[in-house]
Amino acid sequence: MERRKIAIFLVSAFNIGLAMVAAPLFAHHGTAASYDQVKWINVTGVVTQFIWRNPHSSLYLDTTQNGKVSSYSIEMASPGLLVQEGYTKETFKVGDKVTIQVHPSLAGTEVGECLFSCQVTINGQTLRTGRGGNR
Amino acid sequence: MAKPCGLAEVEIVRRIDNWESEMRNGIFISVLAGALFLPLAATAQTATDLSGVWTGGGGGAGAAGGAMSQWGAKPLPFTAAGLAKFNANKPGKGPRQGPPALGNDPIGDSNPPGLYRTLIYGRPFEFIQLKNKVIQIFEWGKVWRVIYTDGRKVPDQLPAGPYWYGYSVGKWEGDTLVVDTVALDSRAWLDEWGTPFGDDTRVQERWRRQDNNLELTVKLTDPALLKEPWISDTKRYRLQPNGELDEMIFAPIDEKEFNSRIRNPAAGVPSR
Repeated sequence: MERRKIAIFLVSAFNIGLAMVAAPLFAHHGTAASYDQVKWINVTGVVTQFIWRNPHSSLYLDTTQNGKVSSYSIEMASPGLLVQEGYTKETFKVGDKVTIQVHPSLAGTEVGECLFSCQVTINGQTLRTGRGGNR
Repeated sequence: MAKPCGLAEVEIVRRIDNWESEMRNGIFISVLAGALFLPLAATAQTATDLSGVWTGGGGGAGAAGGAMSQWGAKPLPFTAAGLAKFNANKPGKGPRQGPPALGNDPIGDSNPPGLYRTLIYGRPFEFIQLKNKVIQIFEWGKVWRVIYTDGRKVPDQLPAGPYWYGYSVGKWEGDTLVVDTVALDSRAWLDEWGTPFGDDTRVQERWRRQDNNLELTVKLTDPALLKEPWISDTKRYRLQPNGELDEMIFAPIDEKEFNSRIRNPAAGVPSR
């Protein structure tokens, strides 16, 4: 009986800790509902703009399909969180060829979300990113 | 004779084994209890100082899901008016979430998040404890509030209110700072899930430090919106020994551009 109580206590403590760690990862002001949070797609294009700004950074690419160029917009995290992921405001430059993993818009529009731990390649070089930090 | 004696020995050995096992469990439990509770007992006898940078705001079932509010698992006892206000709020997060472009979250247009939403957003804050007041500085919005601890009464009315961050008066009850907050601007939400409150809602916060951990519960009282006072789960914060606050401002000029170029098209709706 005592062991069971201890086990329940330890599991509860673990769950509380997990909630405290996990909560900030979703501490963005709420656009996740617009994207397919299960699906990842790779988007390849040329950087036209990278906005390094609170509360959302954003990356804009010109993508080409069947000879037709269109703009793709990507929501990214705040600079504070991106720094912890390994990004800087110089990570993307206009003209860079980028392949980036995003959660696509549920509406099927040319918009995606890359908040945490998405794979990024810039001019053939893989960017080392990863989840980190405590906020 | 030999056989009964052998059985007795076996029984004695079994009892000794059980005794050793129980002793081991007892020692383990004692060590565990000591490790968990001795630091708490030690700090309970020292003066409480909340000063420092803290981060967190999680904890409780409300944060983990299955609740109607991030503040707690227990359902809020809404009156009809309270329920109508709850249903009118269309959040972009939580169990009732929808695309933000189709919702009415007040911060979607860079309005202030308000006090209670800020407290559980997960961004750090700093307490600066002075003789007659406690100042709380928030990274989110780079704003502050003052908790007056000079013995003044909680005012019934504040002609210049309401305020996005309320008006707060605190007092110490042992190691707990009890803060009464009034004059809150009810255009803000209590959390990201669209939990409402009213201009006449009174909130009592209870802040308790235990070593490098800080606990908070809030009690909401508002007869117009709640059938009875409601008490939140315990929210927990962790001291950041060398913590510094960053700047996290949602500037309207940025939000407008973001909404136009990303938020609205992501939901498949025209910019508004």
